[in-house]
Amino acid sequence: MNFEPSLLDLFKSEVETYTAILKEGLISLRNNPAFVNKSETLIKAAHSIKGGAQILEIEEAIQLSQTIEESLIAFQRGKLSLTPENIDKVSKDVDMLKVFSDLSFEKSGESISKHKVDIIPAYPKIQDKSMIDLFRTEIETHLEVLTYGLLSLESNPNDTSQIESMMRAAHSIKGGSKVMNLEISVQLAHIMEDCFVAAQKKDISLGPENIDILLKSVDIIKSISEFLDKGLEQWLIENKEQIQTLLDSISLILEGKTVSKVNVSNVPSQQKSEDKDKMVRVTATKIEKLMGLTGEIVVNDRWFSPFLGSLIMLKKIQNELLNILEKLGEVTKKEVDLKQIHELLINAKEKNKESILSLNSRLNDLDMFINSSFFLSDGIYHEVIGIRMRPFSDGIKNFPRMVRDLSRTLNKKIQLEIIGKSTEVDRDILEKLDAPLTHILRNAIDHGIEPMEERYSKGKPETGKIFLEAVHRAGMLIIRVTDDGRGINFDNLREKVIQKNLASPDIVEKLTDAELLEFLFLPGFSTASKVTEISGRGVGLDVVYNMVKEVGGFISITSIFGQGTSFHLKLPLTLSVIKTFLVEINKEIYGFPLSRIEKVFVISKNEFKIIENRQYFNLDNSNIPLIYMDDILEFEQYEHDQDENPVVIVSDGSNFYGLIVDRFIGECELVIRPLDPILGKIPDINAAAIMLDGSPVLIFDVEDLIHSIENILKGKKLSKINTSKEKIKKILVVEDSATIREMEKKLLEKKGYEVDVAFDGMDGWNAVRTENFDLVISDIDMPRMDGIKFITHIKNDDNLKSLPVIIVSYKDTEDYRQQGLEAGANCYLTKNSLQDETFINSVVNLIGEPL
Amino acid sequence: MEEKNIEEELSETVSIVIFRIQKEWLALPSIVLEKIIDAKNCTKLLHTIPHSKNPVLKGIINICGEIRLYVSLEKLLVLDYSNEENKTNHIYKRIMIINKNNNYFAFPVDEIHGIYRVDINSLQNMPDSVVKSKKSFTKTMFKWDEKLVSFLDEELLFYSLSKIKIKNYEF
Repeated sequence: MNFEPSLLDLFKSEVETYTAILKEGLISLRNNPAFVNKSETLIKAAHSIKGGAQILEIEEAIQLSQTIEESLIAFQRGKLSLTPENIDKVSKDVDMLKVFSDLSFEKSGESISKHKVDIIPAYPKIQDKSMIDLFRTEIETHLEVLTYGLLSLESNPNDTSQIESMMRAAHSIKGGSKVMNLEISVQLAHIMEDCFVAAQKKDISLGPENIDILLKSVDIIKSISEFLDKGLEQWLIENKEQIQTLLDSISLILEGKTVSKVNVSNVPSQQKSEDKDKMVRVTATKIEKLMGLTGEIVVNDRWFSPFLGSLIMLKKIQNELLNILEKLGEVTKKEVDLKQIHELLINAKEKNKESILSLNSRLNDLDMFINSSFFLSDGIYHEVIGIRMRPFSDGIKNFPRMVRDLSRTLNKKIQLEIIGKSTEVDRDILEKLDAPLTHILRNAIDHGIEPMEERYSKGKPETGKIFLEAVHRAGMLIIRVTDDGRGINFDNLREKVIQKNLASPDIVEKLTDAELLEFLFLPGFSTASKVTEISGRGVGLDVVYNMVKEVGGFISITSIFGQGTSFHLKLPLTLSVIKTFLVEINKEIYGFPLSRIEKVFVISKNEFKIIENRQYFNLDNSNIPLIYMDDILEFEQYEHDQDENPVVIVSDGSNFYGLIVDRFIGECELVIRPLDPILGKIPDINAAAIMLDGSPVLIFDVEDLIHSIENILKGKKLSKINTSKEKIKKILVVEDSATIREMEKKLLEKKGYEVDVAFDGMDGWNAVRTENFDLVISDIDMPRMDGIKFITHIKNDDNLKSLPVIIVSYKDTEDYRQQGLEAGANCYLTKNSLQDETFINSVVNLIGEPL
Repeated sequence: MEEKNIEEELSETVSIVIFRIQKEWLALPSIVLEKIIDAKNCTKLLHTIPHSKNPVLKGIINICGEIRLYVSLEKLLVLDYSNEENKTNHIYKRIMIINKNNNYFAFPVDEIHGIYRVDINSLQNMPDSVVKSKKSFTKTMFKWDEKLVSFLDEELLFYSLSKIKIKNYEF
C-alpha cells in the first residue's frame, strides 16, 4: 500500500505525543510505584503507537511498542517488579521509539536501528528544554559576532579590530558546546579560534575563499544548535562528510595555505515552526516603564474616594442653601419681617458663595485629574504598543551575509550599508518585511548593480553600493532600498508595456516616468531579458506590492537611468492599530481600512443610471457599479428611497466599485482584535475592534468584499444552500489514534461518503446527539469514554438506538468480539480489515452505497 | 480532568449555578461560569455578524474589553414559548459568560437564582414530558425551592456551541 506523506507525518506526531506521555508516566512510576494503578493510560499510549506502526508497517516500531506494552502490562499485573533498572529499560525503549518521530525515515527502518547504536551513546539526549534554549540564545549572539566580524574583515582586510571579538566568540562557543557535549561544534569552534589567533599574529591572512570556509563553519554550528532537539543524530550523519571537509580546510588555512574553492553545499536551514502562543522577548526597561505607569494609575485611582467625599460635602452645603431658601419662602408668606429676610438672604448668599468656591476647586481638581489620567493611559498605551516593537536590525540580520554570498557568486563587488538599525519596527511587520526586502535586494544585486568592468567603463567606483534605510516619518515607517546601479531604462519599459498589450502606444507616450514604473508591480511583468536563478526583475514584485498593500502601506519606485533605482516602502508603525473609516449599515457600525478606500462622497438618487438592471453612476467618465451594502452582507431588505446616498469607492487596482452605506460616521483609529476562531473566516469581515463607548465594530476585508461584489454583479447568488438535493450518507469515525482515524476517513471519502471524526467516545457521544449520521465506526480502547460504553449509550437512547455501529479494533479475541456485539455493535472488525476491501465492503453491506 | 474527578468523589456535592430562560429553570456546574453582567444597556455592546443565518449565533459582544460570541441557549435548546407571555421583570435580566478550555460564550438569561452546592445523589431522572431537544442537553433533573431544574450536560453544550457555523446550521 502506498501512503501519502501526511499519514507518516500524523504517525510521527502521534509517536511524539505518546512517547511524551510514556516518558512522563515512567518518571512518575519511578518516583511512586503506586502509580502502577494508573498505568492504563501508558499501556494505551504504547498500544496506540503500535496501531499506527502496524498500519504503516514499520517493523521496528511495532516491535518496540509491543515490548513496551508487554513490560507495562507485566508491571501492572505484578509479574515484573518495579525496580529502577526495569523501569529504565522500558524508558530506553521509549527513547528509541521516539526516534521515529524525529526522523525523515523511509519505510525501511534499517538506518534507524543502526545509528541508534552508534550515535545515541555519544550524544546523550538533553532533556532539559530550558538548557537548550539558553544554549541556543547564547550561540546565536556569538555567531552574529562571528558573521559580522568575518564580513567586515573581508571588506576591509587591514582592519583587524574585529579579530579580538571573534576570538572571544569562538572561545565562548567552544565552552558552551563542551557543556552540552557537542563534540563537533567544540572542534569547529576550537579550530576557528586557532585561525583567528593566527590571523591576529598576521601568521596567516584571511582572503575571501578562507572567509567562505569560516562562514560555512558558522552555518554548521548554527544548524547543530537548531537541530539539538530535533534529531541531531540524523542530521550529523547526513552532513558528516561536509563537516569533515570543513575541518580539513580550516586546518589547511592554519598552515597558511589558501584553500581553493571547496564544494560545501548550502546547509538547509530549519523551518520556523509557527507557534500560536509564541514567546516574545521584551527588554527589562520596557517592562519597568510599564510597571511604573500601572503603579501610577493605581495611585491615581486613590484620588477618587476623597473627591467623592468632597462632592458629598458640596451636596450638604447645597441642601443647607435649599433649607434657607425654603425658610425664606415661609417667612415671606406670613409677614414681612425685613430684618429676618435680610439675615436669611445674607445666609443664603454665603452658602451659595461657599458652594461655588467648592465647586470651582472640585472642577480644578477634576481637570487636573483628567489631564494626568490622560497622560498615564496614553503612556501605557504607547508602552504596550512599544512592547511589540523590535529594532530594525533584528529583522535584517541575514542580509549582509546574503548580499556578500550573492555578489561573490555573480563576481560583483557590492557593499550593503544599513542606516537606522535601531529604528523600532512592529515585530509582525518585521517578520513580513523579510521576503519583500530579500526580493528587492536580490533584484538590486542581480540586475541593478553592474558587473565590475561595466562600472569601470562608465566611470563608476568598482564597488557597487546598496543602501537599506529605515526611519520613522510622520507616523509611518519608511524603508528605502537604493542602489547605484544601472537604473531602469524607460524606453525599454515603454516598449515592454506596449508589447504586453497593457496600454496603447499613444497612451504610453503620455505616461509619466512614475506612472510607467507602476507597471512593474503587475503580476508577471518582467523586464529582465534573461531570468536568472537569482531573480528576474518584475517576477515577484507584485508579491512585494501585495505585502505592502496587505498591511495598509504604499510602495513607489524612483529610478534614474544609468544612476540607480530606489524603492520606497511606506508602512504603518504597527499592525495592532488601524486607521478606519466608520460607516453605519443596518443600524450597526462597520469600519473600512482607510488605506483601502479610494474616495467617499454623497450622491443623489437622480445621478443613478440604470443599465441592464444594474445601477451605475458616472465618475471621471467611467461607469462605476453601485451596490447596496446590505445586499452584500445579506441583511433583511428594506426600501432604499433616500435621496442622499453615502457611497464608499473601493478598488482592486483596475476596477472601481461604489458601495452604498446608510450613513458616514468618520475616521477613527482602532485597536484590532481577532474574532473567535470558532467562527472560521466570516465572509467580507477581517477583524473586530472596540470603540471608545464600548460598542464593537466589525472591520471589512476589502479583498473579500470585492470578490462578493463581483459575484453579485455576475448574478451569482451568494447564498447557495444545499445545491444538491441528494443526500450523501454521513459517517462518524470515532478513533483516538490520529493515523487510523485519517486512514479510515480517507478510505470512506474515497468511496464517496461524507465523513466526520471524533477523537474519543465522549466526543463521539456529543457528536451523535447533535448531528444526524447514517453510521458510526468506533474503536474500543479510547480515553475518557471507551467504545463499549459509547455504543451502550447509543443503544440505550430512544432516538439513536437504530443507528448502526461498526467496531474496528485491534483486539481480535473472541471475548472482546462478544463484548462488542453484546453492547449492540452491528459488526466487529479488526484493524487488519483496513488493509484490504473488508472494511469498505462491510460499510456498504450495512448502509448501502453513499448516494 | 483527573483532579476534578477526585474532588467530586470526595465531596459528592457539586457547585452549580441555577438560572432561568423563559419559564425553564436550568443549571450548569459553576466551574464553567466565568462572569455575570447586568443586561442593562447591553445593546450597545452587541454587534450582529453579517451573512449569519444561524439562529443560535446572535453576534458578538464586548465583555470587559474582550470580544466574545453572543449565543442564544433558548434557540439551541429549542425553548420556544413565544405564544406565552414572557412575564420576566427586566431588572432580573443578566448576561452569563461561560468558559471551558478557553472557549467563551455569552448568552442572555431571564434571571439568575444563585450558586449552590447540591448533593449529586439527590439528582433524579427526568420525566418523560421533557421536550426532546432539551432532553438531550439535560443530564438529570432535580427539585430546588419547589422548582424543577434541568442540570445541563456542559460537555455537550460546549461541544455544540463550538461547532457553531455562520451558515447551514442543522438541528
